[in-house]
Amino acid sequence: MLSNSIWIFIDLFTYFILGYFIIINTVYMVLLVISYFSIRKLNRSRDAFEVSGLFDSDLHKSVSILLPVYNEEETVCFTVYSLIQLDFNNYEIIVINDGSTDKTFELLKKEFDLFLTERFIPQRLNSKPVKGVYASRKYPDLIVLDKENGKKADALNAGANASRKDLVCSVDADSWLERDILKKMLRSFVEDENTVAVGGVVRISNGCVFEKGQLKEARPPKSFLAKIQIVEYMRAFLFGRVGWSAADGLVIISGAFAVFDREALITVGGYKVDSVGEDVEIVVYMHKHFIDKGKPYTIRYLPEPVCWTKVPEEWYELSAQRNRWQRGLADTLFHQKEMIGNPKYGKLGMLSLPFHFVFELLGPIIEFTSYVLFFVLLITGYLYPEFAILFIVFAVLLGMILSISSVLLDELTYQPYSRIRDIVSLTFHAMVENLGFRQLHFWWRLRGLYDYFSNNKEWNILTPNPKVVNAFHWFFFAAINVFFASLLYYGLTA
Amino acid sequence: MVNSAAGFQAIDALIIGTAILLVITVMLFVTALFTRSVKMLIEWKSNRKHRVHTRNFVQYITGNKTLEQLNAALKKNPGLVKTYFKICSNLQFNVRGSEREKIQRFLEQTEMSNYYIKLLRSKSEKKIIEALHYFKEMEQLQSKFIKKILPLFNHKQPYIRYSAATAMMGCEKVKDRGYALELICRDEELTRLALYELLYKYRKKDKEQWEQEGKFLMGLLKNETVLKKHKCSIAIAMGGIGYYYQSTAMLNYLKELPINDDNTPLIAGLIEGLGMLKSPAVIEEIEKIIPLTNNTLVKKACMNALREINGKEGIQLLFNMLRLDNEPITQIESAIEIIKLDTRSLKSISSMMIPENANKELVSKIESETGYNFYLNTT
Repeated sequence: MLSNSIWIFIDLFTYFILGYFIIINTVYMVLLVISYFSIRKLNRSRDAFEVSGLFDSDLHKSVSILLPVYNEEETVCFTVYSLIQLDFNNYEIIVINDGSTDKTFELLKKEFDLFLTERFIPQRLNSKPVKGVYASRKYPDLIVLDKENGKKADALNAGANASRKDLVCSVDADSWLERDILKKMLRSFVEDENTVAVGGVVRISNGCVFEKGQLKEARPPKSFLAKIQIVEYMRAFLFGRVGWSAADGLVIISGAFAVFDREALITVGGYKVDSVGEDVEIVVYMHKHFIDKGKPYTIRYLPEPVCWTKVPEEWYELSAQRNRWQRGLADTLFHQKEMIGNPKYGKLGMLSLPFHFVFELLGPIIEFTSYVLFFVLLITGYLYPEFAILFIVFAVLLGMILSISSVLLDELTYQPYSRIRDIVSLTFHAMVENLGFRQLHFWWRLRGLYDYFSNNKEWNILTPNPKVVNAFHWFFFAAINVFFASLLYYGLTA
Repeated sequence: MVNSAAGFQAIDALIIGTAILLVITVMLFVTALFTRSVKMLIEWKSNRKHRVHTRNFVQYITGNKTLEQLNAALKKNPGLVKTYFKICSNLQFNVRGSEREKIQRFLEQTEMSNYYIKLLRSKSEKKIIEALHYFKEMEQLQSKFIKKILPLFNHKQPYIRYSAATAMMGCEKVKDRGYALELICRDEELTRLALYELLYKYRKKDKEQWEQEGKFLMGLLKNETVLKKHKCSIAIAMGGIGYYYQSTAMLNYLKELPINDDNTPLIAGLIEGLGMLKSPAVIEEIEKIIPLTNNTLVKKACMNALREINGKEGIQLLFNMLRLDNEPITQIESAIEIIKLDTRSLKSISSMMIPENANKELVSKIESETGYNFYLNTT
């Protein structure tokens, strides 16, 4: 028999887990509702704030697109061509070759007829030395910086140093941008003078049909993993970030596409060069800087589909990516820990950051402990199996509701996918996501936390045995589903 | 935990909760499919309707149908107003001359305007915006419509106020457009870029109106009711849009203005605007102003203007500011403006900024004041 004190501890912990479960789901539900109304309002103001003439003049803000590339020989030229075709009249493209060891730079040199040029680069932000600045004979608004390898953040800083425009826009090398993206994003600056950063919805391009550098048809990919990620992205972007943005608590603008006021970026010291989560770091730091200085500022998230990016289709790549995201979040939250729970930082300090700390950062630890406790109690007979089964089904259903709601939110707003079968398929994946994938996801995040505390600063911690890792994940995924099926069978027959 | 009566109650509650969630899940799934199906059906019907009426409208444009026939159709079925408006909006971009005039004539028909005037009075913001879109499509906004739009300048939503001002930029008379500008320039929430957009629309293609437009803008610069920050934007936009006839008036006004904190935004705007108009006469004025002010905004405008004009004297002045001005920000900004001029000045600026050079003191001062590591980083 367990002693009294252990019982008290278990009781208290169980209530803690229940509280955690209720709070996290309530916050998600509230965010969902906020996002719905926020999207409706933003759509209305978008129709009213129609801007056309401004873009034919020189009075609007000019943009430098920063494209950091490291060993991207397969996609770099396609991405640069898509950027050249953007519908905007005052922008430059700065490709930063971050010491690639493959043919990325040679390909760029040949394809865009690059030549070495003199360009003064004030070193306003920290970055590794630039070996050469190249201009293109074909496209005068394209320049390529060839620099020593740093990391993505280091490359972005070098790009921001070289920029001569009002705004800088960071783009991932495997991303594709909609032609009118800059006009859409610039509207934020038209609507609100104090805007210092804007993010937009990032969609998954796996499966989409491209023709001559343009998106011909948006289609969900065939890969199971990529489809699950579509639902995940919908949830993260359409109600996670839009909701937090409406509640003045946005902490992440996706690194795949973000626009910053150049001076604001430079004032806060640019990206933290050794960070693996530079996109979270810079946004949180901007909040801190402007609140500390008492200057008015706005960081916005526009629920418009603007950027399409490739996502991993293999378990081992995905787990490495999620591991990095978790390390990035941990790095930022520990680095800016004085902001958490600090009333000086308003809703950000009192709501958003504590939520991200407890539920997003420590969530994997709490969830893991709760699973362990759950099984211990179940096996030792201290928990009725009926209760256990019902609770699991309840939790899974709640997760499904949130995921399907994001599909529905997408339906009510942008509907990028035109076929009904795509919606059926996405809704199906929204359900399946909670059976196996979610559990693996929390495992990757737990590993991420472990790696963070082990001081692992690698960009992507890739395994030397991808096949083994993939097989392990499929096995684990199947095992979880068999377990759920057995529980359900037991529950139904009991 | 559940080895008690409370435990059994918890199980009962969970059963009910799970059942509710299951029903919600199924409902959401069905709603997602239903929403998409309904939207597809509506879209299909609307496309079909659009196709049929586009044919009718093209017949009107080509002279095979009369305006009266289309009006009769609208009278019979007022629901067609939106469809016809959509067709007009799409076609307007692709036609010129008499065909465009025909579209405009159709848009002015009572059936159309009455429908949208009714929407303007609606409490729904969505409907008001829809109505304002209709008035924006009109090339010549009649006074009877202006009266209906003006109350919207007091709407609580800034985007409705902006949208109303945009619609008013369709007015034929400079006076009416100017009045709308004057009203919106009292709006604290109007942003600089939004005002630029309005000013861009304020300028008509008809060159004969330009002088009158420019004079009106000069009047706004002197108008006490216009907010100071907007005056600055107007002055810059006058340069950016190219009201060249007003450069002398702008310069004279700049000379008249006493240099004090109150006038700072307007002075900065006028200098920047004159720079954009490439008015060399402003260099002399800049030379006078620089020693009299410590305001960064004004200094930045001076440097911007000097770069825009890009003359020998201007560049010399920029170099002087870099060497002699005590403000590190001014030194950095002047260096950046010189750098923007690129190749011709690159060598000079390099010699000034490389730490090994005699100007080490200046570089270290800039670095210590601003935290920037400002050294040359090119091959």
